Amino acid sequence: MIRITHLEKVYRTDEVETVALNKLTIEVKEGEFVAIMGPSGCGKSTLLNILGLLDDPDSGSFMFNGIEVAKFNERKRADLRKRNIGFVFQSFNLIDELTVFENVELPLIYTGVKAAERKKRVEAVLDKMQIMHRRNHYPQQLSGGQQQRVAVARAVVNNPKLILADEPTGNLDSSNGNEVMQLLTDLNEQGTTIIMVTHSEHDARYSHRIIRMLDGQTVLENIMV
Amino acid sequence: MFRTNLKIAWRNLIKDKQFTFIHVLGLSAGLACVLLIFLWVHDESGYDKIFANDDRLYQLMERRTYDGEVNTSEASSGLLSDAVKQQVQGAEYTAAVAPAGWFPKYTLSSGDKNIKASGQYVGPDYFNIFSFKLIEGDKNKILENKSSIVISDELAKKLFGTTENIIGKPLRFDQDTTFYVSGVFEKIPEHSSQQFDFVLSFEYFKSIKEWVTRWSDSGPLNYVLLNKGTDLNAFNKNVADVITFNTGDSARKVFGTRFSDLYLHNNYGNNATSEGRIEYVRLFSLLAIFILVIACINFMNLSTAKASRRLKEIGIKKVVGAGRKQLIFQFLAESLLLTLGATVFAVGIALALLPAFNQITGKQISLHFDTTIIIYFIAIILCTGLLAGSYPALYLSKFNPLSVLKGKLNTSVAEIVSRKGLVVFQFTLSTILIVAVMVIYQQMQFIQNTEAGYDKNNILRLSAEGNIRDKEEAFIAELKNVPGVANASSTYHQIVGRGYNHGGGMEWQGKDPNSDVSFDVFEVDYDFVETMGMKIKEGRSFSRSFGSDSAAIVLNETAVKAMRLKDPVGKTIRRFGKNIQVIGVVKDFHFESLHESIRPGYMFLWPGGTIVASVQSNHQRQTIAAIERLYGKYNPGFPFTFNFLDEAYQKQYDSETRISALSKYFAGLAIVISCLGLFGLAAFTAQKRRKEIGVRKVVGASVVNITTMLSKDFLRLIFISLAIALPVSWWLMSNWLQGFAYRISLAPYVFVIAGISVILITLFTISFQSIKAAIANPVKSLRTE
Repeated sequence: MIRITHLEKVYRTDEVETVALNKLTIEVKEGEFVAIMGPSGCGKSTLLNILGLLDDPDSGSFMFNGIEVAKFNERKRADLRKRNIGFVFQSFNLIDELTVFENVELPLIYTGVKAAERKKRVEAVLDKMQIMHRRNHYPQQLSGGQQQRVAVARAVVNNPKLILADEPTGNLDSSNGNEVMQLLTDLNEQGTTIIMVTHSEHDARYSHRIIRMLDGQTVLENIMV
Repeated sequence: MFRTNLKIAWRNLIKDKQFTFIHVLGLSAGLACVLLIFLWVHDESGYDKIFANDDRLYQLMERRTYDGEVNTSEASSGLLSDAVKQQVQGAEYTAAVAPAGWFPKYTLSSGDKNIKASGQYVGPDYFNIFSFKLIEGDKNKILENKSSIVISDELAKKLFGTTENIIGKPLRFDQDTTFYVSGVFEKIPEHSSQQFDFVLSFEYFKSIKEWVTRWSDSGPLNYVLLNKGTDLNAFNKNVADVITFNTGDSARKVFGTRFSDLYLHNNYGNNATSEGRIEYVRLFSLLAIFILVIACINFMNLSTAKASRRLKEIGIKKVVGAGRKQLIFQFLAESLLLTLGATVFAVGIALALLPAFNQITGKQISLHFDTTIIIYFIAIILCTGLLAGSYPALYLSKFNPLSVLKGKLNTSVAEIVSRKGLVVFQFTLSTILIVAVMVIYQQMQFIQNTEAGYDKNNILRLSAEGNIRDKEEAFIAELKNVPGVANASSTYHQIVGRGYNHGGGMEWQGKDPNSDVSFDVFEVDYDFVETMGMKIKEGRSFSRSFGSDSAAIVLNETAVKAMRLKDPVGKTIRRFGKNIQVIGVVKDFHFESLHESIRPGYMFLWPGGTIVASVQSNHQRQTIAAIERLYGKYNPGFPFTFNFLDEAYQKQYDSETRISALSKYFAGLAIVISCLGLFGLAAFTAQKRRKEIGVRKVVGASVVNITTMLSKDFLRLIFISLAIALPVSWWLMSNWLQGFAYRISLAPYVFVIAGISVILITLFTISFQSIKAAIANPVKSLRTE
C-alpha cells in the first residue's frame, strides 16, 4: 500500500540545516498495523506528516496505492487525503465550538456526503465507539478517553484505508489508553491499515511490526509475534 | 458545510464577547458614519437636477478681463437675456432673473390678510425654462403682463384659503401697488437652489429700476434653454461676443454653463482655489472612505490577531479534508455575515444620530430606502465585508496544518510588517484628522474675531416698505428718538453679500484708458457710516449740513488704490456723465465673506431699501417693541419683521461652521475606531507574550519594566504615523486655507499638540492591557504552557 524509497526531508533555517529524513525506505502493506518508535527528533513526526500527505518530501519516491504522490500539489494531496486517510492525534484536536456529533460529521461534509447519509454514518460510528449518549456534548465536557474516542470516530467515519495515529494514548491514563489501543486493533482486524507513532513499548506491542528510527533512518525492524 | 461554518462562526463570536463587541462596534460605528455621509452626499448631488430639461438648461456667465485680471460672475446685465434670444442661434428660451435673495420679504395683502413672502422678478419665459409645476395658468402667458403675479399654492392658501378660481384676483404689494394673480405654482421643491413664494415680471422690475436697462450695470442672472440638439460649444462660440456686439466693450465675454452643475461647482475660477460645495462633497466622500478603511483595518487586525485562537480549527479542517478555497470562502462568508450584522447596528446608530446630523448640516435628510440607496448599501456591505475579510481569509487559510495543530504560528516578516503597517495607516489618518479639526477651528475663530470694519452686532434691519418708503426721512427721525436706538439710516445694499456693481460709467483724472475698475455700489442714506460704526479715513461722510451731498461719493480704500488717486478728497469724478465730488474715504470693510478680497466700492446718497438701526444691547426687547409700535403707526396692515445683521454675517460661513462641527465628530469617531483596534491588538499581543512575560517576571522584571516593554512597540508605530501624518496634514491644511483671502498662518504648536495627543491616547488605550498583563501572576501563565 505504501512504498517510500530514498525519501529525504531537510529543514533549513538561516544558520542550521536539520536532516529530518535521510534517504529513508519503508514499505507498509495493506492491512498491516505498524508502530514507529524512536527518540525525539529522529524524524518520526516528519515521516507521519509525509505519509499523511500533510507535507511533501524534498526528494525520493512515495507510492501510495501504486500512485506516485511525492510531487502532488496541495489540492491533489488534500483530495487524496480526505478520501483515504484518517488521523488520530495525541491532543485529540477536536474543534471546541462543535459538538461531538458535529466534530465527527466534519470529514463527511468535506467529502460531500448528503445530510441524511451523514447522520446515519455518524450515529453508526458513535454507537460503535460507545459515545452515542454524548453526541450533543462539547469536547471540553468529556474526559480525555472520551475525547480520544471521538477523535477515533472522526478518523474512521469516512472509512479510510489508512489511519495515522500520532501518540494516540500520550494524554490518557492506562485504562483509557488500553481502550483506545483496543479500538485501533479492532479497526485493523476489520481491514484498516494503521501506522502509529509512539513512545510506549506497551502500545507498540499491539502492532504487527515495529520500525525503530534514529536520525532520519530506520535502524531496526521487529516483527511481533 | 455552510451550516457547520455558520455554527462555528457563531459560537466563536459568543465565546469571545469582548472581542466580538470591539469587532462589531468598530465596524458599526464606521458604517454608520459612512451611511450618514453617503446620505448627505446623495442629498447634495440631487440639487437642481429636478428640472425636465436639465440637459439643456444653462446659466449665462460673464467673464471680464481688466488689467489682465479675469473675473467670472453669474451677474450680468439685465439686457443680456433678450439680446441672446434675438441675436444668438440655438437659444429656445431665455430669461433674466432678479433673484429673491436680493430683496427683503415683501408684504402681500388680500382683504384683511397680510403675508410676508419672498419673491423674485423673472423674464416671461421663466416657466418654460424651469419646469416648476403650474397648477393654474398657461406658462406661455402668465408673465406677459407687467401687473401679473404668479404665486405658490402655499401662499395662495394663506392669502385666499384656496388655489382655485383666484386667477385675476388682485393682490396688494407692499400696500401700494396692485398685481393680479395670473398663475399658481406648486411649492418649490426642497432640492431647488432657487426658493421663492411668488414671481413678478422682469419687465416691471426694469420699469422701476433704471439701472437694469443699462449694459454697463451688472446684477441680474440670465438663463437659457438651448434648442434640442444644440451643441454647447457651438452655442458658446456664438454667444461669447454678444455684449461686445451691443456695447463695443471687448473685455466682456459670455458663456453658458450647465445650471445643475452650479450648485456644487459654484466658483468659476476667480483665482480662488475653492471650487465650491463640490469640494466638501469630495472631502466628505474621502472622509467616509477613510473611516471605512480604518474600520476595515480594525477588522482585519482583530481577525488575524484572533487567528491564534482558531488555528486548531483551521488545522483540523485541513486535516479532515478542507481545501484552501473552502477556508477562504468560510472566512469571507464570516466577515460578510459580521458586516451584515454591523450594518443593522449601523442603521440603528445612523437613525439615532440623524436628527442631530440634520441640525448640524441644516438639511432634512431622512433614511428612506429607494433603489439607489439599496444598491449602494449592498455595494457597501459587499465591499466592506470582502475587504475586511480578505486579509484574514488569505492569512489564516495558508498555514501548514501541522504547525498549526502544534500551536506553532510562524509569523513571517511580511505579516508583521503588514499588520504594523495597518496600525500605522490608521493612526496617520487619525492624526491628519486631528490637525484638520484644529486648523478649521482656528480659522473659524479667526473669522469670528476679524474686524468686519463695521459693528456687526446690534444692527437691526427692517424693510423700508409701504409708507415708510415715502416718509423715510420722518420715520428715521422718529426711529432715532426711540429709547435704546443709538442711530439709524438706510441702504439698498445687503451689507453682507454682493450687491449690484458696475464697471464702466466712471471717469476720473489720470484713469488708465486701457483698464477699468468694477465698483460695488452702496446706495445709502445720511448717517449710514455712523450707524454702522464704520471709520472715515479721510474727509467726511454724508451730512445734511452740506447742501450738495446728492452729487457726492465716498470711496473705500480699495477703490482709491484701484483708481490710483492721490489725495482723493475733493477730486471730481464723472459718473454716468454727471460730475460728482469725492467727499471722503471710508476705511475698508468686509462686505463679502473672508473668502474674497475686499473689492473697490463707493457710497452715494440714495435713501431707501432697508432701514438699519444701531440698538443698544441692554433692554433690547423693549427697544424692539417700541420700534414695532412705530412701524405699526406708519404701516398698519404690514406684518413687522426684522433681523439682526450678525445673523446674515454668520450665514456667510454656514458651510464652514457645519464643516467645523462635522469634522469634529468624524475625527472623534476615527480616533475611537482606531483606539478600539489598538485595544484589541494590545490584548492580543499581551496574550501572545504571556509566557514571555511570566518568565521575565520570574527572573525579576517589575510591573513597570513589563508595561514599558509592551508599550514601546506600539509607540514606535505611532511615531512612524506622526512622521507621515504631520507633513501631509500641513500640506492639506495649507491648501484648504488658500481658499480664504484672509486666513491664519499654520502654527507649529498645532502639530505638536496633535502629536502629543495621539501619543497620550495611544498610551492610555494600551495601558489597560499592558498593566493587566504585567500584574498577572506568572505562575498561572507558565503552568498553562
